[in-house]
Amino acid sequence: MTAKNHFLFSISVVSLTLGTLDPFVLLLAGAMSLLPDIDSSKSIYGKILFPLSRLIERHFPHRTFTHSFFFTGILAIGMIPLAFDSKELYFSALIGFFCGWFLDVFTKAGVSAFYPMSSARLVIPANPALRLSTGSKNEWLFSVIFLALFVISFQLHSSGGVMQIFSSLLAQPAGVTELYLAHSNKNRIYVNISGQTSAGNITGKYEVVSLLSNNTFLIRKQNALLLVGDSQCLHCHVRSDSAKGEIGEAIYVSTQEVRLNEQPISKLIEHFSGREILVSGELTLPNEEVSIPNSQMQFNAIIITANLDSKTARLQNASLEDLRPLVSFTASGSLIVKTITQ
Amino acid sequence: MNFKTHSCYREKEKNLAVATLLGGNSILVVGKAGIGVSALLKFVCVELESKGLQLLKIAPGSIKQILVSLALQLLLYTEDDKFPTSPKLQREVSEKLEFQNSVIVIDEANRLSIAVRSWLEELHENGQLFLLGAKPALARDIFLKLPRMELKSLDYEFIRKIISETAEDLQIELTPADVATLQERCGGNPMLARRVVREHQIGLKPNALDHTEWINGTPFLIAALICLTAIRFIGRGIGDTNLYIFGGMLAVVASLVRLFMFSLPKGSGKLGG
Repeated sequence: MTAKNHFLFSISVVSLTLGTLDPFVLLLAGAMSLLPDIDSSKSIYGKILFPLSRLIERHFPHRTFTHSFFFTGILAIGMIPLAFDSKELYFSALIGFFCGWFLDVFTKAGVSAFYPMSSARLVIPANPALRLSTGSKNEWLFSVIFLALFVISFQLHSSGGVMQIFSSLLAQPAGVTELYLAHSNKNRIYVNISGQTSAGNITGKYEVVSLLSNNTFLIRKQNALLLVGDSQCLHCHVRSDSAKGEIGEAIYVSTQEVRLNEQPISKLIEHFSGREILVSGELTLPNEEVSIPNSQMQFNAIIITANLDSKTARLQNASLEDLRPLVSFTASGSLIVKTITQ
Repeated sequence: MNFKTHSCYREKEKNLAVATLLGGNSILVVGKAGIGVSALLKFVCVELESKGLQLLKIAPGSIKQILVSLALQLLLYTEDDKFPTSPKLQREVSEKLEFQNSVIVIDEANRLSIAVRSWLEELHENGQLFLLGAKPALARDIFLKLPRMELKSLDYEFIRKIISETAEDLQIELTPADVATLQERCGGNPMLARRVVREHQIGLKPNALDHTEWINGTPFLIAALICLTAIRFIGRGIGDTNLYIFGGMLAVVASLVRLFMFSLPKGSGKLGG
């Protein structure tokens, strides 16, 4: 195979397996894919590092030592310091190198992949007439295939990756939760949903607020939170027939812990006023009358339970608006506040 | 045994064969075509002759041809004599051999007929020494009874020397890069090492590579693809429906690749095929 095909194949494989489009990572993979051919003084690296390539070709036939699992293992061990710096670069270099020599398995002469245990040449397929001759016209076909593979990989990653595209095709809540896990710290996540509620059908695009399990999540419809699951989810407010995730505008998310010790909740509301927050945690309230509307038709962000001499408010993804009925109380407890800014 | 060789690259095997024969044991040397059986036999013969051992070299042929050849070498008859019938000649040669401290040397013994092999087996049981060279043969009769030495591929170092020697003979100049490239076409086969230099000299591009040191990687490729289908079980284990379905689709792809790869036409194994 020519250097061009080694380069294209390696960057395509690295892009697909590591899920990256980082040019530095891909260039490293491409550069490493040409390294096995250092055993020939006619190759690019062979010309650059001539004394080394001449030394290798004086001792080994072409495509033996540097095209083997053994040498790949040596390289994998030798590059371990790189892994401490960046695992992505480490694997990129290693996969790039492996792809560099593995592609030669499809050539007429094959490679001595199991050297030094065996000098027999690994080939695919077994019929030599179906294998490639280096520099033949058929190499153009492979160049086109590898280029197409890279373009597909580019498109896949621009759209969120292979699994995301697949999830999107299946249009299941599990795909939305995966998308949320992958991108919610940098982007708003929306869901285009079509399904049923106890009040009838629901269709539209809603923001995903939070996850409750690996296939259920909360959406905000007007001011109400609704739990969405698949069509089998009996306790969900929305049983979706189709749920396709969508990456929205960029956001900045910060999380902080807030501790209240007999302090007014109004101060908390005042402190976060004007900001978009989601509050979760538990607060102990005085044993006074509290009016929080609870409904079975929606997800209740605050649930009040009465104890002997106090009341406990359990908060789960409560917004600033949800906290307003508690404004007149003093409370104790610990809260996790997630702040979202554009 | 008509070939040109410069040096013996199988000193260890040569010394072992010579020691075996001097120790009163026969030996069968087997190896793939071009691996160097004939060359080794030639070097062993030179060594044995230098030690004063009588060698009776015969070429594969009919039993009559072999008996005549042996009778001439044992000085039972001259070329001008009229030879008796085969059974009589066979008896005379057998009797003569009983009183001779000689080694019968046969290269390409795999071409011997069953009748000849049966007679040779009889001679072997009567204590006759043999140095046989053969291409891979069925494990039966005399081939099974003789101690066997199997020749493996030559080391890269020796193949490199053979390529350089051949290039020198043909008065062509090869760079180390040329030698490394030619080496990948001949594996550890010395006969092919000489041939690829001639092909290089006349500018022939390699089409089919005739050495037999191949590992078919197709099953490995399919096994690797099948391993990817483990994603399906991971998906099931962690309750990820998407991963489960995706793994299932990979299993289908692996099956299709397997079907495709195994339906590719097999190589014909014939020259120009």
